[in-house]
Amino acid sequence: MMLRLKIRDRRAAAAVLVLAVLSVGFALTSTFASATPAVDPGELPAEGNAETETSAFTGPTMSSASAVQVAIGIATGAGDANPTGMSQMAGTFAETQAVMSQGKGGSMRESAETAAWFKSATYLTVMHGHFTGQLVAPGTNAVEGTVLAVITDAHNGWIEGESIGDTAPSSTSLSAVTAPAVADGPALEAGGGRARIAASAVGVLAGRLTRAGWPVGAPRLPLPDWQVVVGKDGLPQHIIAGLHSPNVVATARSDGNGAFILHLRPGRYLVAGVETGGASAHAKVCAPKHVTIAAGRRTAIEIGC
Amino acid sequence: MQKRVLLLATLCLPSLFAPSVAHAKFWGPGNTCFREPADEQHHCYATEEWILAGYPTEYGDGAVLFDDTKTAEVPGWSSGDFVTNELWLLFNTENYLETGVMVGHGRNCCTLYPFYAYTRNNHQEMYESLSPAAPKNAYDNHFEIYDPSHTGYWGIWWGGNGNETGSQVWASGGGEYPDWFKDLQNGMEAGANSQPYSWGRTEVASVEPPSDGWTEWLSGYGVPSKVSKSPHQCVYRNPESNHYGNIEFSTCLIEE
Repeated sequence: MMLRLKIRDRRAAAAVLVLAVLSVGFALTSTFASATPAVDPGELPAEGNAETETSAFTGPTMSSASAVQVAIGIATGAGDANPTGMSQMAGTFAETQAVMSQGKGGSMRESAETAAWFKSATYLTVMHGHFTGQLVAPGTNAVEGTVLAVITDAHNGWIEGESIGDTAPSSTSLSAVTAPAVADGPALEAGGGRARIAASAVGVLAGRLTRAGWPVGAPRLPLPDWQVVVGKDGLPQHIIAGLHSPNVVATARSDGNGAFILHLRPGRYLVAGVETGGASAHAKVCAPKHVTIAAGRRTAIEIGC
Repeated sequence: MQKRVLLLATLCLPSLFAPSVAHAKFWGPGNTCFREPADEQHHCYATEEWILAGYPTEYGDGAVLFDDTKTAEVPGWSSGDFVTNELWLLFNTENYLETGVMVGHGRNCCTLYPFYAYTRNNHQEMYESLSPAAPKNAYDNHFEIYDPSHTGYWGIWWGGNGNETGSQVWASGGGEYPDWFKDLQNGMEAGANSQPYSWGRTEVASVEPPSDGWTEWLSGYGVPSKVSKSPHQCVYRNPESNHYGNIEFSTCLIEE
């Protein structure tokens, strides 16, 4: 009996220890989340979360132009950030889904479970370019095509349908649309002097420069007042360190927490951290990382130095 | 088996701290897991696959998946990262049908949303629908792909218990797909540039003629399904129900 009690005590102690570890973990998680660089919510379409998931069916609707930008973000993720020949229609999900699929392969069925979904307001945006499907069954190739159709929930911008192929959906409800204008030139620097033009046509890169803590296993430490350099994709490290390179499209400076925010046009970039005054050959340069920016979306990145 | 489960649980414990981990660009061994370009070499998987001999010797007309995702967190959700836990049904053509749950994909970090997708026209076209509503309870994480007519009219059901119960969300046209499948897979697909965290268990069955009864993924010739995974992903037999096809999967980067 004594032995069993000891075993139970050990198990209880182990359980308490596990709970304590979990509590600390959640506390750290909350701390980190609150320290993440904030983004002005007015700059972005509403982002979904568990608390607002039912907003898919209700509330004010976004503009046609915003839906175009969301669709361009999907096109960027599918491999073509500059789709052409865009057209769009507004309608219920049942209507836009029917136009998107054209009955090819099969058709959706409405049921009690999906009735609210079918009646919800959506946009269908059709684009031309070169696209690659994101879902890939093991052992198969990703589907590629020249036409990408995207169904966007009109309330929160969520993607509810996609198709890729070589034949565009046909409907008299589809009207030509164009991407909202984006000013030429480099990206907008955080807090910079350029006007916040067409904020919905750019994406937000929210990042943090850090270095290893000490001793081993300690939290990473921020790198304040470092230069952040954004270059074109494929830029060699020694080029990105040269801040005057024509291939550098944006720069920023990390704040006291090592954080930085940049507004970038959709596309794929190389991002590096450079020690302040880092135009010299001896400047410390963090290992650059690739990042893909989608219109109207926030992309987080941490660069370790 | 208990040691294996304990090991898996231990390896997955860091998933609870996912947000405190750096949003590292690319992940997996040699940073080989990422979202784009989307292909089998860059997405990472933890699955079980069962390949049948095919018609007329060995074939089926449906499959069911009961998904029990325990943890799902996709830190890169806002940039389009996603994880699916799902069932794939492949024909002797390149076309396939799939359904299950998806996390991320621009919505939020951690909520499971039912989806289905299919390819057609010799795998030249793909269509996908992703529900805006999360399942109300675990029972709704039941999925079925089935051709009750045995004539190539396939359907997808959510939230039922097989045999055309639940909500039918999709029905194929006639002549689009063969009468019988020859390959089933289930498990996790991660298309993510930042390390996602997901683990869970699945229970599956194959639906086979003439009775359309449910069977585990074991051939009449004694050929069982086999786990298949990208390097360092985790996949084991489901300890709660260790029939062939049932797995326990995880993105935990186990050392091999």
